Amino acid sequence: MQALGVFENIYGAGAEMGIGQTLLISVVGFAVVFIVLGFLAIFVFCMGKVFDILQSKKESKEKAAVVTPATAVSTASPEGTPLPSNQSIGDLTLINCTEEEAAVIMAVTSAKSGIPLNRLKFNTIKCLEDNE
Amino acid sequence: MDLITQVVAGIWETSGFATLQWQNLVMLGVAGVFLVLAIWKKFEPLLLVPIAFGMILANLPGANMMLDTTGGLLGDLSGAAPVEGAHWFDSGVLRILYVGVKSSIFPCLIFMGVGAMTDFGPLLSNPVSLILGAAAQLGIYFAFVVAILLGFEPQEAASIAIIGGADGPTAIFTASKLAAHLLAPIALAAYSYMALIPIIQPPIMKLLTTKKEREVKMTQLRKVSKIEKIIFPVVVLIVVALILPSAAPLLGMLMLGNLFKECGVTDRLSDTAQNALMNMVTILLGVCVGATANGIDFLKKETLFIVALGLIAFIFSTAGGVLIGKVLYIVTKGKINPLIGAAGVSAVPMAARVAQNEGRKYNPTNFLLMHAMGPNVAGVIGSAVAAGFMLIMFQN
Repeated sequence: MQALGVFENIYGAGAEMGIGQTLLISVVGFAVVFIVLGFLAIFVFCMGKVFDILQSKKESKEKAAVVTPATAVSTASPEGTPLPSNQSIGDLTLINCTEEEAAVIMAVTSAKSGIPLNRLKFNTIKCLEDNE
Repeated sequence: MDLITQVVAGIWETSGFATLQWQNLVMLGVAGVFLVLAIWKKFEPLLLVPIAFGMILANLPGANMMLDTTGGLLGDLSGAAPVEGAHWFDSGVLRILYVGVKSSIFPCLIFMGVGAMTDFGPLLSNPVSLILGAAAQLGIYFAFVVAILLGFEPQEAASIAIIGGADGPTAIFTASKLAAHLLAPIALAAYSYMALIPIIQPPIMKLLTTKKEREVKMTQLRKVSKIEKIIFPVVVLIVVALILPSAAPLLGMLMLGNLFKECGVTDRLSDTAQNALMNMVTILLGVCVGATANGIDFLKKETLFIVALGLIAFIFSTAGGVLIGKVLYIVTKGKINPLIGAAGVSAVPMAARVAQNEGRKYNPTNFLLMHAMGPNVAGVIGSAVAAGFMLIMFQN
């Protein structure tokens, strides 16, 4: 407390403060809040930048890892034709099922199984029960 | 016949009716209003119900729920003389529980629960939120100046001013350290105004912003990694506690609760902190705070001043956040909606909801809630820092 000499005389119950001291305390107090939170803002900003860079590097590595096996399958195709890049292989029969519903089912299957859509083959999608 | 008369007289003399005063009746009425607001109007019912019930218990003469037989050892509320031969455990049950308020155990435990429920993600994805959270502490310092001018002692003025932080536990924490005799009106004012935020803030927000500013749609926030969320509470605690050690109890508990939530390996602790523990402490804190509002000590001119100063503090805190929001709107060339600055008062999440609702009034496609949550949680840190500063300045 001694280090804060300028405020030394306002401690304790019953202490009186003039308007000058009151304003000074208010300005200093507000400034302290700004300085502390400002410092934290700078820290958060820098931390965010560092993690964004690390994340983008990680993503680019993952992308490279995903593309490589797909290319390998493509070149190994028996017909010698590349596999479609963004759709499943072969003909698909829909029974009591709309194209939109089928698209959702295929996308979910791909996402849940972790297998890219161009490496999955759907033969039939059939609605077994109809709620209506 | 004499015996019957004596028995009836004895029952009358020991009953509360014999010593009931008009101040007690007024406070019972106030408690009734609080119950109506909480139960039928749904204004902060989790807080107002226990507070109102505590007020009822404290204003039943003869029940002695807040009797202190130690002469102030359990909290210096009325400075009563010690009862000869009595132990501390002979005191009223609420007075014994009040030790949790006086020692700051309850506010700190509440902060742990708040931390376990808080997502700092919006703040981490938009660090400028911290500046808005700082700006919204303006009301604290404005109210402090006004309180001094009204004749309050510096300790009292500092405790009253913290109401402007819109943070109940912080207000109680500061008041219990600096001016315990004002704890009841300060706590009641803080929680009442927090409940009334949807009424207090919108006119100020509208007054200080243009239609064009209120319509600003903010861009999507960046995705925050789990590691950032783990590092943040630890770093905030270390930085703030080193600068303002007096803020460490509040921020330490806040960040501990948040670390329970974010670290992913203490789900049970996080669940306890944000549910069971939080509920238990809310009950005890609410009842004890309400029980400090004994009509004979409570109904004074000072109480009215405190209520008025609390409102002033809230208004200026909201204005501070909005005005810095306007500055950021200009600096960022219209990318920040100034309305989110009002959420810098730390009433989480009511203030953020108000910003969201106001934004949608002027642009129905606007979705400001997550953007406003950043300043909102920054305000919690800001008010704890402001309280820490006041404690450094004025704690005996």
